[in-house]
Amino acid sequence: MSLDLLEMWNHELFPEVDLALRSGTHIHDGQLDLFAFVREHLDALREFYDRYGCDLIHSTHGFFYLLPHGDSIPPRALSKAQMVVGMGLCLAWLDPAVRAGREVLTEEVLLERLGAHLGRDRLTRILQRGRKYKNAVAEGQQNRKKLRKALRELERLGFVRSAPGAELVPSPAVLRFAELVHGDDRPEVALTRLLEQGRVVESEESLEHSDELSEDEDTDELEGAA
Amino acid sequence: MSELSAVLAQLKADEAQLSLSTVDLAYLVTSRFTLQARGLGCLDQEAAHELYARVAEEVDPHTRNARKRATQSLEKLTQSRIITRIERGRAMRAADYDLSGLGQAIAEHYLEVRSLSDRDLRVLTGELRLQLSELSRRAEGARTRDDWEELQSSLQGPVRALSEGLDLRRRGLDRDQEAVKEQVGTLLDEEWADAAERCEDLLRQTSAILSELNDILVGESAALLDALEPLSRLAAESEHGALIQPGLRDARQRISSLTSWGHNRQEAWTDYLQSVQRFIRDIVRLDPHRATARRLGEALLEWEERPWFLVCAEASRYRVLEWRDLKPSVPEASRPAQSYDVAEGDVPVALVTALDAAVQERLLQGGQVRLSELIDELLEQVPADKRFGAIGHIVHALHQHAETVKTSAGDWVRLRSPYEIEDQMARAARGEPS
Repeated sequence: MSLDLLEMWNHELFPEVDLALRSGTHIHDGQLDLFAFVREHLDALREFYDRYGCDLIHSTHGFFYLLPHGDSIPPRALSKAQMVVGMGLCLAWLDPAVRAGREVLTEEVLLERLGAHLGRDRLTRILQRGRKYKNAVAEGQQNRKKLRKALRELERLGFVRSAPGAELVPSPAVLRFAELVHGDDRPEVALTRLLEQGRVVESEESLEHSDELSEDEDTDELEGAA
Repeated sequence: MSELSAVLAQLKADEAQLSLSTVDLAYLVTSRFTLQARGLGCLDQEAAHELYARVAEEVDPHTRNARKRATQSLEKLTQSRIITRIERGRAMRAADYDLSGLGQAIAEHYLEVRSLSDRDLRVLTGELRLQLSELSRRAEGARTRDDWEELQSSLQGPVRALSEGLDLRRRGLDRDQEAVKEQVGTLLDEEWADAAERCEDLLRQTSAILSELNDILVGESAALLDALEPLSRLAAESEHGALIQPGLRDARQRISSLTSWGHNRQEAWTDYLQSVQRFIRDIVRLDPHRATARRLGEALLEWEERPWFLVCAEASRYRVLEWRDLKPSVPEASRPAQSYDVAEGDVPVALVTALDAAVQERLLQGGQVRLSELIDELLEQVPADKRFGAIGHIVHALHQHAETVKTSAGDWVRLRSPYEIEDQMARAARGEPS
């Protein structure tokens, strides 16, 4: 066994980093201690997770995450709502007004931005998985609820954090949502490459995504449904 | 309108002018601040000249003959009715100086709108150092309780002035930072590609100001703590020195807060600086035409037609290995289930017959029979293990031979044997065979 591995295991931060990576969390350079630990023990961690059939990805944008290829640490796909909300966060992250601190990003602002970009009907269709609402107020409430739920999961995964004053602060990891378009490749070419690398899947059913199932089980979401 | 015309006419007649140098303005601000912090109505002549000279040296390091300049400028400010000279008695050379309404308005304007500059802050810390030296000198001659009480009250003013000055500086810096954020946002918005260098320059400048401020605070706080030392030593040696200890503690705390505040503001600004710099590095430089944002917007619009989903690791639990219990299992202590209902056969037929006869005999004696008394009487002759069954037979015989049996609900009676029954009253039937 290599000395690097021993040193890594003995480090007090290893359990926290290990649990975070296994649960899909993206560790970014805003998390100073954890990020420094991963960077310092990158080779040992890669060797360690390779035994579980996982790649430890180091993004040039300043974050790490675990990409599983086998079943030892099972992979999961984000849900539709999480994908759309994640792309909305990434668009906000790329917006100079938000980055320069001139515009405060909140749940409400994000919902408005997504609604303006996609159109209300399309946004509802994606967030509510095809459910339609006769009542605009109920539709708004349910969309807000879905957005909040998706944000909670995205926060757990390290894509965004909540700051005082209900502010949402996206992390550099949201650039994963722009992987398809960030670069010179055409989106179709980029998608093929990402599919081959196992970083994305085309069908949400191809991997388990327990959150999506639990979303459908929400009985209260039937309120106001047409 | 007539009032306005009158005022304008007066201004014209007086040939009114107002011309103030930077040092004059700095003096007005510092003077206003000092008076307020110390709770004084005015400064004596010596203090006013001293303050002006110090401000002049601080604001304009090339000042020569600061004392002479102070005299001339204070005279000019008095003539302009910006400060008021208050004569002390008949001695023309001894006077106090206060700010006039106009002077106060000017000072408050700058205090409110611009807040204190770094130089103002240096003036305040410099003044506090001088005050502390002066207090140390006075402490050497302090003997009585009154002397030390006076020293204590003299210490409070300048320390409070510094603290309030710091608060003003803090507010000013916060406003400056907000303004820089606004400018950075505008630059990035309007001139994306060209903005990078200008943004970085802007951030560097502000960062340099903060760094300089931090250096000032660290340096000044060390100097101030040093200046407190002689006073602390003298207080420790003096009989009444304890009187000034609360003031010294307060001064140390306020001075220490200088440094921590400087560090905190610098850290907060550094975070912002890093965030914007990373944005410029990652996004602006790599994507000068903002193609990523535009293409992501398009991808989001098309996503529903051809969706794709990011893959992450799924939270999975560790398998926890448990120790198996290898000790031999001990059989549970138990006994066969026992029915509490005693079969009729358990009571010998001879006993049943005897009980039946005894019940009849008792009924023949006439009057009312109480069941509980009857059972207690008859069970005396029955072996303990047969009593439960025997009670049933007694009740049965009573119901067979008695004319009426009355039950009063809830009237439960404890027997001599370890049983309870619901008591009944019976009367013998007429014509019962003897």
